[in-house]
Amino acid sequence: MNKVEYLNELKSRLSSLPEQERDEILYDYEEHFEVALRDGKTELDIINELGSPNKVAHEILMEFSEEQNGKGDQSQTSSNVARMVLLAIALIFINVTFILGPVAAVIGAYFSLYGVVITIGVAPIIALVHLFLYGVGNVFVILFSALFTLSLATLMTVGLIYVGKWMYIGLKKYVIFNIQVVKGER
Amino acid sequence: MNAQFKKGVLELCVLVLIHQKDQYGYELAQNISKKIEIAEGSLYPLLRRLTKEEYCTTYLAESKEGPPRKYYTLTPKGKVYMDFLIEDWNHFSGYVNNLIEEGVGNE
Repeated sequence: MNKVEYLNELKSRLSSLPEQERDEILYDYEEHFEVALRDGKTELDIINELGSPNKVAHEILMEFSEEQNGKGDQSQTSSNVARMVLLAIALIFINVTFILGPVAAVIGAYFSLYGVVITIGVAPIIALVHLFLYGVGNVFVILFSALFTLSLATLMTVGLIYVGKWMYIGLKKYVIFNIQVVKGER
Repeated sequence: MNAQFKKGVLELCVLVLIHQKDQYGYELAQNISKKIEIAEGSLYPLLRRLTKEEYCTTYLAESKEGPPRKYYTLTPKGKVYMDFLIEDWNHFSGYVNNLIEEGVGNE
């Protein structure tokens, strides 16, 4: 490798840097070569002393990225906050207009089903009370339908508990998803 | 020597050398590698950082032969930083020497 190849290699490895920055850096190494050559060194000596272009480029890029990190932090957080606020407003709008209504309806329907369960669970008990206290109605019909409605109520309760769990999990996931969107994790 | 450690020491050496007198890159590289083994290529990223952090400034000066040379000179801020690093170094090397004496001094 000679001086020109070394500088070209270094240049290509620094291609991610802004042009002006890169030219300034390369100028330093060019000057180094110039001065060292006048000092009586060979190009090979100089290259050996400098270290490989790969290693040098790596160090330059590291310094550069550290610098960018230090600089970028503050502006990044403030723009992040603005982005989060905007996203939160947008999400609230979407949730209120499109999601809140249907979700409330579904939850309402869900709880009204508990009302149904209570009704069909209590009705045969009332019928049984009437049967025993006042002798109203047919014993077999009432016993049979009480058995039927009570089993139905039990089955429905079990079903509703499951459905409730799924709804709860779904709602929780949706809320977490919203929070993640605002935080920028998605 | 550990690379990260060397980097810190190199910074101190550069500051002390340009405090002594303004120097250009190659001159600095020679002065340092006379005493410590370094990859001279890593000197320039360091000088660039010191300049960005305003610990030193640069100026171009014509030379009797060849292209103009970029000289580095220490700023007052750089002087303060250098003094801080020297104090740090003295403490640190003092402790390390102490440890070494206690550890292997009596062998």
